Amino acid sequence: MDVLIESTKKFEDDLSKLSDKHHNQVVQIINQLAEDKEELAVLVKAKAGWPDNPKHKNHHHVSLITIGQKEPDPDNEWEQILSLYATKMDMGLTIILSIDEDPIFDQIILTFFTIVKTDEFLIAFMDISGLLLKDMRWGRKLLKDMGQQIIRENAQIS
Amino acid sequence: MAQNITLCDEYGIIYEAMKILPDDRLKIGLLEALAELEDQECHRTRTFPKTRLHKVKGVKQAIYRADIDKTSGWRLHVQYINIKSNGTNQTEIHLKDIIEGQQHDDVIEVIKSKKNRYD
Repeated sequence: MDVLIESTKKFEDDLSKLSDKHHNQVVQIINQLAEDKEELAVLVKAKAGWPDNPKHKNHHHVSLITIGQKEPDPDNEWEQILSLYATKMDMGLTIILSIDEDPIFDQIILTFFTIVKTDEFLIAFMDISGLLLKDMRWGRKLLKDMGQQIIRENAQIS
Repeated sequence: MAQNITLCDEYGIIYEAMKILPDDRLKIGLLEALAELEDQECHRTRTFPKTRLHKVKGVKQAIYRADIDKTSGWRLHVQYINIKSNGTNQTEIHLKDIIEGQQHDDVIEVIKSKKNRYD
């Protein structure tokens, strides 16, 4: 199974602003993750709140973003819909990405959305999740029902 | 392994499309898109020239975007469900939504795509 690595304009812009050292670290993180197909297969199946599961270690430090509830709730609609992940880096930065199984093309897709300061992660996550969901009828319904305020209060990264 | 493809429209997307698509050109485009989604050869070769079928990112479900018309941006969202039964691959493609074209936002628009390695 191939791994397709995609990046957005925002991510490329963010990457271009980093120092050479940090730029290279990010590229290394991306390639290490892309090479670890076994880990990717686990990550795409992960339930929300998975990083709290002591049975599994993730040496790429990639966490599934849990939203909706502070305690992971597998019945929570939000947590079942999005495939957004984040990886914290040592330099106080966080990469937001999605990891998607693509059965028609038999591949896993890594889409890198942005690199933000870790303390600005929540805002960036809300922006991206909102943009992803508003393009879908059921996503727009969820956004309307739950409201951005709930996301602000409950979005967390493990 | 033989593959059977079934197009499902339990949400009445075709009915809705005929009401909201503004002209006959787009309605014909819809028909052509649906035909391509049912085309076993397209699925075998994983080549979809009309619909430019591709996975919607950031969503756990196997939701795909299929163009009705590249210029206007009108598109379908379909869900792919694969069922293996008695040695046969049964593929169901469920029409989920029809969406009018809109401006892409830089934040989520993909501009770079590489297989297996980023550089």
